[in-house]
Amino acid sequence: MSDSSLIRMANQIAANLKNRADHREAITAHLKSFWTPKMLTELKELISENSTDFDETIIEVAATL
Amino acid sequence: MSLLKETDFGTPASDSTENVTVIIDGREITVPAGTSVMRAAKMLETTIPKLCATDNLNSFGSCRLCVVEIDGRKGTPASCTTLVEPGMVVRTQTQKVEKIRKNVMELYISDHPLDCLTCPANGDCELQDMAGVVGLREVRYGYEGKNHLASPTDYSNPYFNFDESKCIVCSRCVRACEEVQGTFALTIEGRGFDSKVSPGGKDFLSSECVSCGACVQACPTSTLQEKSVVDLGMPNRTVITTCAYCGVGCSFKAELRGDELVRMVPHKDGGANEGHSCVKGRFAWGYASHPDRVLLPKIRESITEPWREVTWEEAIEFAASKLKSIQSKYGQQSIGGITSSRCTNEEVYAVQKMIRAAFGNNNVDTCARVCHSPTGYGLKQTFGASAGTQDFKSVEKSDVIIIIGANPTDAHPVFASRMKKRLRKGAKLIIVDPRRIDLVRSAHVEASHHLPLLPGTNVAMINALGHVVATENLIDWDFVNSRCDLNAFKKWEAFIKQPENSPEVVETITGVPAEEIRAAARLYASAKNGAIYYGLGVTEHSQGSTMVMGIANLAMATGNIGREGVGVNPLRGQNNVQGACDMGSFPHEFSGYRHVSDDVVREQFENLWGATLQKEPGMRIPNMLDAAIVGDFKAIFIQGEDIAQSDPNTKHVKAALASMALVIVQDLFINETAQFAHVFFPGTSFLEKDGTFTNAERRINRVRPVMASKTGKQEWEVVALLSKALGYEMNYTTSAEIMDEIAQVTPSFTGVSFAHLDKVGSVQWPCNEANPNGTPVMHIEQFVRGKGQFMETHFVPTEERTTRKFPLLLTTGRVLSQYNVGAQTRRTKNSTWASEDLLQIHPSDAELRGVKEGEWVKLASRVGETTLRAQLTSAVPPGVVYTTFHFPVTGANVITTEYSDWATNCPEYKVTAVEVMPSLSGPTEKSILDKSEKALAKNV
Ligand code: SF4
Ligand code: SF4
Ligand code: SF4
Ligand code: FES
Repeated sequence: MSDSSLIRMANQIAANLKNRADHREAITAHLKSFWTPKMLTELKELISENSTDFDETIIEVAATL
Repeated sequence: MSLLKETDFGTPASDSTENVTVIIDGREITVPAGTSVMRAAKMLETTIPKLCATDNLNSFGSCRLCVVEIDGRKGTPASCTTLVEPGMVVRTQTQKVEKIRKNVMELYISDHPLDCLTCPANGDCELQDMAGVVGLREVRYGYEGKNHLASPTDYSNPYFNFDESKCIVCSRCVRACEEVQGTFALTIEGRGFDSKVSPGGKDFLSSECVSCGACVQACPTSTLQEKSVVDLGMPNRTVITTCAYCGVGCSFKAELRGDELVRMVPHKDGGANEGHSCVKGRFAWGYASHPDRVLLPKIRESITEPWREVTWEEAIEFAASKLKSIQSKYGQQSIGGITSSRCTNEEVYAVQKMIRAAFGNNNVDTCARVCHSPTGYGLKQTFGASAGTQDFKSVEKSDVIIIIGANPTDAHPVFASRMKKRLRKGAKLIIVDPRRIDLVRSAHVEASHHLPLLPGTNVAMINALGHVVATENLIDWDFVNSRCDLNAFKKWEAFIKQPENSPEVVETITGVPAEEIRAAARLYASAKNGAIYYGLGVTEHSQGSTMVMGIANLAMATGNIGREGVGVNPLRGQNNVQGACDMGSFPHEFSGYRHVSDDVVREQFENLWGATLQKEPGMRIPNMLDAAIVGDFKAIFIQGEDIAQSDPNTKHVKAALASMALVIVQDLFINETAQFAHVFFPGTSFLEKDGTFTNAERRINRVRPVMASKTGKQEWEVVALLSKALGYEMNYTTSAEIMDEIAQVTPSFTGVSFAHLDKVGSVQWPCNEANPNGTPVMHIEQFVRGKGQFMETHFVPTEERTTRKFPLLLTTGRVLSQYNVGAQTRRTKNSTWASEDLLQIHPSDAELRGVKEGEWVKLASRVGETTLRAQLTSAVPPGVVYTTFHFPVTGANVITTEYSDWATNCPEYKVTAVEVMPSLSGPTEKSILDKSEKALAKNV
């Protein structure tokens, strides 16, 4: 995956779910349901390289994946 | 089978629940009140002669051939316009009526050319039949004197002729156009002897006619006649099959003469269409034998080399060995494939099975990704089933209909005709669409409310409608309390009542006056039966999935789910979008929408298939393309889909394809995508396929081979051969066996088999032990997921915004005569009506830019530009422009961006910031690869 696509997708998921009370569970479930293991690994790597690109909720959730 | 002639009862069935008993020619029959004497007689197999009556039209009573005698009544009433009454005694064959009938026929024949033996309708002409039935032997009036025999023939329509000299002015065509099609293109001009059928304008082609063919089908003579019948002669056998264009899924009688297809006639017993069709299904099938069809497999080492025609064996071996070596070099996840919504369920199932079992990964996706994936997601979350809730017939019971982001008269014409019929009977209509689509105002149909929202603001709008329902006490509490999850409802209620969702705030986002939004919400919420129909204008947005859930919320809050006349109904673009999704084409789901991580389900597939399957989701199409660009994804199998034309951001798609080591395309034509392919497997047209399609109402219809496969193989056979060459055998001998396997592993299909479909015609899934004949309306007593789930639908504006450089919003759609990327329809005479993509622009925007009607304009977005002609129209509001994507030369997707739905990655085709400016010339001869793509291709 290209980095920019991955960042955009992750932030978009956060933007759409973060207003829900159960947003952490919802984002986790979404990523686990639809993202390939490789995309999840890349997400974590990107966050560790430069977390400023990411919505805070994604950073929180990624840490638990 | 020999030529199938359906029984014509003369007048439509009555839906009265009261019964009436009458005696006809000494025999008693009990029929519903409101039945005509003609129909009651036919139910006793007594045929009363007729000319102006046919059972898909209301009786008219003009020809007087159907007269009968009724005890206790004066004269000889017409049996088509006389309704049965209790105790009525009817005589259909008396000397008196026979004499009248003979006289009537004599008059008709005296003004009719006597060229029966050379007439194209010879053997299929009701006038000829009736002359025989009434025993006409002589015509006393002679053929001199005033007549219509020299009237000219109108050849203007590319598919049928209008030979006025043969017209008996029975008005069946006029009524078919009004009652069946709802276009009102025809009238009877003049009076008495001078009366004649007129298509308005100069001829049929320049009239309002949309070439649906209903009038041709209704005409009892050869006046309106298919050109193919004139050219090839009357057909003599029938094969019943299903249209391969849109998601309506009309049933057709393919009528052949020997092995040659002569015409397609919509099948009266077809559940989706009940005897009607549009111009595409009825007439646009010539592409199947177009000289551009590729019939032999082709291969090449590199996309810069010419193709080499090879045997099937060589092509399969070439593809398999490359796939294997790519996987061994780049890993198991480096290859994948795409299934097609244009292919049968069986073909799709075979491809996803090959990918999961033979490729050994879940990198399978389907073209529904780019159209209705948000429907699958949104309806599964809220209702528990990734499908529409109703059958098409349900619209006959709707009182208020909302259409959101769909243009049924162009994209789902036969359903539109059904809907218009209901609207003419008084149902109210609300349209939510940036454009003033035809249904906003057309013949005898006018929407009560048109909410012309700015593209990209759907979710704000649906929230405002929900807000009105929740704050004005319009909630159906009985429904919500008994059928829905109350915790989720309360959360939704608290959310939707917030002032940010009020029509007054939303007005500033959508541009639609708050009062109009409130009025529309009240109208829908107070309807006895409110139904919502939606299309790609809902799904193809960055919040497509949210919008689908918002629609579901609104329907649940108002109790509009679980009976006839209501529901949430996606109008699917392609014929088998529903089926392709059902068959396990998504990277995270097996057939029947069960997640690959579900151990029980996966084990069932592993045991049956004898293969180890992966438990994590695979890549979606955009993931595959992205991964290709960075070098992680190296080979793709593309079944019947032209992603280089249909997918967004063409440059990106082409660059991704060009960077792959192996692209395998299975299709009818060398399309745009095939320019990047190394293997081309020729596919079959729907006329050659043996299988099933599932339409937008979940109806599984048989697709029967009308002719032998022109490539010598069914498409699934090619997939099975490739799979075998990769080391995994499928062992099917017929497509019926594939459906048997689908039924074995898919809970909603357990009752489906070719034998069952052949017996009952069609079924709507779920079709299982509990519902052996299918399920027309879903969620009747409870939702598939148990309780209906309200979802909070926060509005998140798209990142695609207008700027000073790109101040207009482009949205896209379809025209009636063309279909999708046009590969099929462009190869038919449908191009008579639309031969290029046009850019619709509001006159004020055009004036600002010096753009003139019919002149070339450049359309540019931040990702690309193209040229097309401008069409000035107030159907689009200022600030919005619109085009179609039917023609590769325009390549409208050069413009569309990488933005997509947050949940499903369905591309945001409906919102692109653009600028339009005059251009001196049209598109130049386009090279397939631009410079950067050529460079990439060289590296492969
Ligand atoms: S083809 Fe259809 S639209 Fe055209 S005149 Fe006939 S019924 Fe009307
Ligand atoms: S064109 Fe055919 S259907 Fe129409 S009035 Fe003439 S005979 Fe009847
Ligand atoms: S409405 Fe759709 S399915 Fe029916 S004939 Fe037209 S294109 Fe085919
Ligand atoms: S069929 Fe009854 S009047 Fe023509």
